[in-house]
Amino acid sequence: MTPRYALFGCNALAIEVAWRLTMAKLAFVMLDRDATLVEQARQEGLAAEHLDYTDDDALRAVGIGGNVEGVFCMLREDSENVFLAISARALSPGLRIVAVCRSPEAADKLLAAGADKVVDPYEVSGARVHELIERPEVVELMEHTVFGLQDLNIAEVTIPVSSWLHGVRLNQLRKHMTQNVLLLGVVDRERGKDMIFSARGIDHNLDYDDVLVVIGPQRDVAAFQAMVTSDKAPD
Amino acid sequence: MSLAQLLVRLAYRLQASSRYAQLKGFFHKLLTDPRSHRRKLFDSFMIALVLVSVMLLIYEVRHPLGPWADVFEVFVVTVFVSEYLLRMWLYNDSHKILIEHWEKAELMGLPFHPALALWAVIRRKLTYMSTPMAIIDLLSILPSYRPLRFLRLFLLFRLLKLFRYTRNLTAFGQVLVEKRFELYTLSVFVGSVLLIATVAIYLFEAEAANSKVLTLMDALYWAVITLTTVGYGDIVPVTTEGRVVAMVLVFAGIGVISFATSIVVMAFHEKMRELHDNRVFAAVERQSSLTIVCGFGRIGQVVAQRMAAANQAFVIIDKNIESVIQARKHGYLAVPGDATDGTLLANLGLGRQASRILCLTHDDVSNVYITLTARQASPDILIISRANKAETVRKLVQAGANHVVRPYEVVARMAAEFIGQPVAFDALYDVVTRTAGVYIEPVAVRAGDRLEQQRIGEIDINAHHLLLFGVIRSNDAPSVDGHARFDLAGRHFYFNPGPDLILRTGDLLMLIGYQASLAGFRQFASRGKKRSKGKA
Repeated sequence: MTPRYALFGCNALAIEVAWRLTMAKLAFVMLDRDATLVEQARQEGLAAEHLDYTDDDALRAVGIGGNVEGVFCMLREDSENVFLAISARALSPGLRIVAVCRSPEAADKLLAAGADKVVDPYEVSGARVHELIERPEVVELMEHTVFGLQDLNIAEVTIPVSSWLHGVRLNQLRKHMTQNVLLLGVVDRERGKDMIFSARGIDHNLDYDDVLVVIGPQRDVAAFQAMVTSDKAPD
Repeated sequence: MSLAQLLVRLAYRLQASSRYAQLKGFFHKLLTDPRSHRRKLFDSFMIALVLVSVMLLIYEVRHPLGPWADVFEVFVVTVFVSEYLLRMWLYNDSHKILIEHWEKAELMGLPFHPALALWAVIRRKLTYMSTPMAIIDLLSILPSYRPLRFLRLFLLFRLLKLFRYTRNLTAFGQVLVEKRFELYTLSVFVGSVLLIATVAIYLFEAEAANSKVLTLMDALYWAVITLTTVGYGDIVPVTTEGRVVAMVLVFAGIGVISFATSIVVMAFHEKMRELHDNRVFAAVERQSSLTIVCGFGRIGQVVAQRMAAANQAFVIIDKNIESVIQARKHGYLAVPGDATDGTLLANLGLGRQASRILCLTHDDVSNVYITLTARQASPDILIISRANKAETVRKLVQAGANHVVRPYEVVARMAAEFIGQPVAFDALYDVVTRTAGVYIEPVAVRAGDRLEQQRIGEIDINAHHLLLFGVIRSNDAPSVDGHARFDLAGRHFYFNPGPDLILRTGDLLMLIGYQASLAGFRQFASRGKKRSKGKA
């Protein structure tokens, strides 16, 4: 199995991410340039490898710019993550880069360096605590289902060029949805990153490259995906 | 019926009477409850009364007052006496002591001695009467009794009553009390210096020509005026020996003054932190619902910021004084201290008005300890704890935490979810964190409302511009087949249920939509069924 994701860092946080990816059955490779950390991760039972991320050739050898789709910058120092994000972005413009930042000032630098998403552990944890105070039901529900390990997932389905959905209205799509999926909304990438909420009452005209945001069990999501990508409307 | 039986019966009747409890509660609110609004009004009224009565006393010295002044005096004394008696009554529950004695006697098969029980009651009341505040109260009343008119001066004790109604004055008194050893040392020193100086100046000056020191009282007066560096100059030494005494006394005086100043300054300096903390405690007392935030690190800061934005009352504890200063700069209530200290937590309302406690220190050991302390103090407080290591999560749950947040886990979850479907993840995350205007909110099905016993298909959720994410139902309800069902910590979650699911009382509908639509739906749901009567 060729790794689809490269996880940089062998510290506690990176190990946490590694377990998460393992549970989600995503193929990844775990890398660090600190040999002792690599050894520690191996002892935890993870297939970690030693790699100097400052060397572009080494990055290429891992598959960045090749078959690797996403990179996790989970190194200890913000400066290291910035360096890694810049190197990875230069090698592959289409790569998805998620980075962690330790100090709030580093977030903007990481975004400028090419990261798609920057996660500040303290910020998100603080937000989580406050969410738990304000809306415990919602947080618990999400943690147990969508963000948890049960078979209820969020998924995005991009409408391909050849799809029957091109030019079809949202309401019409809804009529064909026999699968047990919940259509949360559509992101019209031509208009921006904001999602158009599906129950808003505006009948959006779908076209290709729109992203449908859905929630559902794996099987139903796959069926939905097949329906969307098909070139013929279902009966 | 014997006296003993009568007493016990009365005690039990008081115990059972809700009107008695209500009455006592009313006066408790009026006189002693620090959180009550009424008490503030009462305190202001008493302060005004004290000031007016003392002002009248001063005015009366030169100007005869009419009979209405006597009426006013009677009124003031009546208020003071009632207050005194009420406070004594509120101090404890005498009938409980009686009941306790009676039940103990019954239990052990011993005879019940009403005299002993009554003595216990009186002893408790005497304990109250011997507290400084009660003594001051008494002293402010007594001089009004005519045969004791010579005690008029003591009417000024009424001013001391002000201590009772203002916190800051009490703090000032405490400072002096705490430094009593130093003050005692100082007064012994001053006393001996004065004694020596008085005797010396008398010996040297009393017989001298032109001397103004004629009596020992003159000598003492001169010594005090010189020692305190006031030096009126009405009495001055004329002999050489007398002047030497004066010079020595002047230097002693400087020493005494600086010593006294330093004691008071030091005491206030030491007390400053406590005064600050007391202000926080007082502010905490006034809150009806409160969150205690232990630890003002990065996570604590984020939480505090959000809670402040949502106008929720909270108080911060942190070991690090710099963090506390930083928190105070933001205008948050904060006290320095160790959150594992049970008394500190109790001062901050744990077990009383604190409804939530957040253990956010970076030390797992502390978090477990705080969690345990909080759970023991209050079985229904909401505890959210931070765990840094995965192993700690279980320990925290065992210690009684309702929720555990592990920063690395949160990050890992976000990172792993994002990488596969970045657009969908951001969209859903915005919904959960309410950043994009579309919210997800629970709507409960209540008995008698419009949702109860309804088929989902009959409620036109779509017409409300809402999306039904699913229904949360408790475990003990019979499970329904034909719907995707998920486990949710003791409850079931029916995801995207079809139109056939029938709602029951206690179900939670998880709805997604704009705030206005959600509010509209709530209103619609609570309006009640058309056929049900008398229920809102």
